[in-house]
Amino acid sequence: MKVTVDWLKQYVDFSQSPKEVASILTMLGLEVDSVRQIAYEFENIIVGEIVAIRKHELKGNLSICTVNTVTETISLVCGAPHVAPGMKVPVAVVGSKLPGGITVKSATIHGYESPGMICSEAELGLSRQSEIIMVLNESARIGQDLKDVLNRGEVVIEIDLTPNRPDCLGAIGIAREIAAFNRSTIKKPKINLNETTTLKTSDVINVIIENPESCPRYTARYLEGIKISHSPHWLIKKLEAVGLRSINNVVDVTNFVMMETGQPLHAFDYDQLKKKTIVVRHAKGGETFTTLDEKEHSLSNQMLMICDGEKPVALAGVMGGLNSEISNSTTRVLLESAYFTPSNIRKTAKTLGISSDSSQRFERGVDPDGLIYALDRASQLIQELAGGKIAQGCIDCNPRPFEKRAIKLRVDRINQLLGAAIPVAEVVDILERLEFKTTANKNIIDVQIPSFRVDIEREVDLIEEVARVYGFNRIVEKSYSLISLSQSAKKEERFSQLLRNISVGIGYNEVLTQSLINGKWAEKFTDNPCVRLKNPLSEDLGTLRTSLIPGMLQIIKWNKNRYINDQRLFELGHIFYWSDPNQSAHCEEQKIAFIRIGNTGQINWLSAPRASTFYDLKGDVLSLFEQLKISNFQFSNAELKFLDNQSLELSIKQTKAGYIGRLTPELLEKLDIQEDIFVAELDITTLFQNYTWDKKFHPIPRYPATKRDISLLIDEQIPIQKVEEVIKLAGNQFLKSARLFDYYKGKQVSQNKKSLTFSLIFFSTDRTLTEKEVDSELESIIQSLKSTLNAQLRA
Amino acid sequence: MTQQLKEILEKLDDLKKKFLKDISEAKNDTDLENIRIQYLGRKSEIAAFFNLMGKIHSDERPEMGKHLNILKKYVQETFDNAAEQLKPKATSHEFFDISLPGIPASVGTKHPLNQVLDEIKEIFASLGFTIEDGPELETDYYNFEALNIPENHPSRDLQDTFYINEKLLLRTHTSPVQIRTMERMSPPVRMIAPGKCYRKDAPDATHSPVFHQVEGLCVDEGITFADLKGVITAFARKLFGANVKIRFRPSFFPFTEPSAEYDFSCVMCNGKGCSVCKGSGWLEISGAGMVDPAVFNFVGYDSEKYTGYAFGMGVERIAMLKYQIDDIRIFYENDLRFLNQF
Ligand SMILES: [Zn+2]
Repeated sequence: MKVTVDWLKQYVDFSQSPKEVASILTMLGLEVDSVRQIAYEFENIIVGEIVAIRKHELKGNLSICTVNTVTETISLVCGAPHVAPGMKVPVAVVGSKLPGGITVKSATIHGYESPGMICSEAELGLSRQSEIIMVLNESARIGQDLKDVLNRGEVVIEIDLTPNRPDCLGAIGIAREIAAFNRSTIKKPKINLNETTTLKTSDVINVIIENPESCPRYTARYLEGIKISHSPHWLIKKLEAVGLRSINNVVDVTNFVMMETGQPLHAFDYDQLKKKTIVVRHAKGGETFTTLDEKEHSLSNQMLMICDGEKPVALAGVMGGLNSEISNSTTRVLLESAYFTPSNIRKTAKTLGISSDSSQRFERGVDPDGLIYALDRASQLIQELAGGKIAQGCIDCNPRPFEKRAIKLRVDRINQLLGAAIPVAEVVDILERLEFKTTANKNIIDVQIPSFRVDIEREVDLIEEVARVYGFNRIVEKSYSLISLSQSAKKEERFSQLLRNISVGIGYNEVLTQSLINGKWAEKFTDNPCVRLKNPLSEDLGTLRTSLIPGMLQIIKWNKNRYINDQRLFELGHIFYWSDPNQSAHCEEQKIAFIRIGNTGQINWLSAPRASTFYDLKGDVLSLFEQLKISNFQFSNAELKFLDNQSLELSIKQTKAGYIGRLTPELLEKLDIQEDIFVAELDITTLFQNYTWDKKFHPIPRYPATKRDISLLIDEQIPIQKVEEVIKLAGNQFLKSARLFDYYKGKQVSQNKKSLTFSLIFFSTDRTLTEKEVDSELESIIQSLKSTLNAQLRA
Repeated sequence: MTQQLKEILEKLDDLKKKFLKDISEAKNDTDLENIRIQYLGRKSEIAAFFNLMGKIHSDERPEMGKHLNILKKYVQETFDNAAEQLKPKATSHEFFDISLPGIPASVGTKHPLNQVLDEIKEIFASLGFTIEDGPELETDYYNFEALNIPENHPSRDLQDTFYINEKLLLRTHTSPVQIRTMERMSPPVRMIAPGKCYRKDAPDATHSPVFHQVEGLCVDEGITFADLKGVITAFARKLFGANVKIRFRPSFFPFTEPSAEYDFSCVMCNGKGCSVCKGSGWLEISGAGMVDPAVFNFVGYDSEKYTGYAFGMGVERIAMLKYQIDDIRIFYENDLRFLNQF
């Protein structure tokens, strides 16, 4: 909502500067976005009087105007048709500056030397449309600087209005707030209607409301004999200052009154109405309608239409129809001022994708008691600017009158909610200043709500009114003292923190990526249907991620493009998919993902860097598990479309918990990356469920352990996991761990074989083991390896 | 005591003094070796005294033995200490370059936004708030309806929403967690809900379609607007220091009444006015207010008995102020040169 300071001053007296007014409004809850002075973009334009005119001999549409500027009398070539002797006009002389940095020079136009020009508003940057010569007021002095004639620097205040305050969608409403703050009163413009006695409105128009639930009140007036023309300078200036375009004098008046009162008005060309009856009804399905912006809309059932008895002529409260708009030949006007039900207008505007100044006001709620005032104000102004006669009386069709609202306000409740001690008298004073009527009975105040405050429905709404005028900053904050014994963070939250701490500790950088990704990428990482946005910003942000990996790959790419090759990233976040193909149920799961590319460790002088392998990432994930003390996991070969054969799936107690693997060459190609990328994604909920919160102490072994190494030669195809299982099964008495510390395939051993060396640790919790005991268990392990895996013992 | 023993003891004392003088003057291994031979060797003076033992009266032998042993132990320990002192510090005299770079261990970083979020969580945890969460893929009911934002109401325009279908959407704020928490438990409730939110804003320097918010809620008997001001003040001072000032301005949110926006005095210029605060001296932080009775009705709380406050804050906004970052997009680029700064 924009308003100018001059405009506000028409309705309320105040002495504060524009900046101070902005601050007052902001602290009352009408947040001021900007205070901007309209600057003139011209220099040295002076007032001149046309003393004589003659036609250009060659070009009939040009005239030669003799203009007196006090200092000189000059002849200027002018293209405007409506110039006349005696007119005072803005004159640019040689050296004057025009918008866009143009310096006026003497020019020869069809043989005539023109040492300057008579300016239009557009040429002066005062308005956008008007190509006509600007005619100045009689009171302008010849030779005066134009800037002194025009109101110097109008100040525009732009307010970011919250949707609960439609009463401030008109300048009078904003003036009322200033008056409430300053303890003054507003001056609404007086209506002085000059109705004709020979013509009654009710004789020329009849109004039928078929759907009063959507239109509880409809008022109208009729004017005839009016002359459509352009608006006077003051009106154009006012409208443009608040961001509206000037159309013609009648339409401009309706817009002006809307900006003044907040009540949208609509002017119909009476001669375009087929039957002289206005019917307000819901549209029939299948109807179409062309709005005055020449767009055709197909209408649905609930949309409210204004019809002329035969056809729709306006989309009620949203936009007028092309078929009945005011044209240059219009002489008879039907002026509408109505109340349309907010939710209905909003639905129509949303459905059709139209948001007009009118619909914005109706959908927030106009003042149902303000219709006639706005109607009369506009009628009077139209007559003043376009002449004609105003028919006697107005149509006021009001099938659903609004009830007066009254609310009981308990002063105790105010203070109970605010933690303040505002006395009854001050509460009454605040409400009265806001034009509420009050009757106080001890601590209970009966409050009559003015019709324009459609947002006040409950006691708590009144409490807010009191609080905002009283001033939030006068409420003294209560010092915060509290000793809490509760465990603030839930276990899930603490678990996530733990995961992040470990991940950082094992050398990963945390990233945060967009959860909206390109659908093509989302599909590559799941077999489930993806959750897509109905109204995405772009295709690249159109689908919810099905995995954290695709977003993280973009980060890998970003950094690689900046020559950062060694990357280890992790992220915690949610992933989404439809859990059934009909898209009636969805899953949202919490994941942690790791990704690594490039060398292990930083380059250094002691040891040569080595490219990361599958086993590096596997080791990282196992380190995480070790930190979490989760050991009951199993591996199986992964069959995931985005991973190649170097990949595994991880499960804990038969529940899939995630995967570790290398991206397929196809994906690498898509990413245009030539190096291996290893990725892992784990399900946080599964990890959480297998995490032990209540840790118990296990006694540290008091007796020394015995270590034995064994080297084996076994079939290449046997997985290590299998060997470990056999060792652990056979070493069921004293064996505590078996760690692989040498692995060899190659020339030293026969083909299809591999050599493994394990370090075995034996101990007992109650005594020092004898050599014999250890050797005997070792022997059974070796026997078991020989018999089940056909292993050979190496010397 | 016989005269003989007395003399021996005096001699021992002299010997000790002589030893102390010698050992204090020892400068190198040779000196040490001489001292060792002189006092501790097989032919040393102390050894000579031991040999003397047989020549004194048997009654006095224990007394002499005691003194001799004490002296021997003392001499041995003093000698060892002195030898230790004189030992060269390094066994090798080879040149060792301590300026060669150390071999770095790999340590990661937490994302700066999460670091700020951690700090916010910690502050509210210390103020007795629990930390709650909820889904990002929300229903219309929790994101709008139950927060007193009915369909076909202009307040829906305050937030441009990503929809999945008629009922499902991406939450536009973490306020739905308020509702979910109140449905689950009865007052008193004191919680914050941090998390990801989504709005259909084209990305630019100050907007990101995905962003983080922390929502706070406190409901109990006798909770007032003054309490709200108290908690926001406590939070601001813990985050930005004791000098930060807080300002509340009236505003509108469908789920609070009265509603307010709260500002902190500019942390860059201390409220004097600078480019960050656009000369106003104030930084807009977010919204707050007293829970609207309509919201209590949705979750079945008695709005006459209980009152409460709610507040929100944008994590990116606070992180940008804290780190003096002027473009929100840098958080989501995840450039490692950026991440490694935190
Ligand atoms: Zn500042």
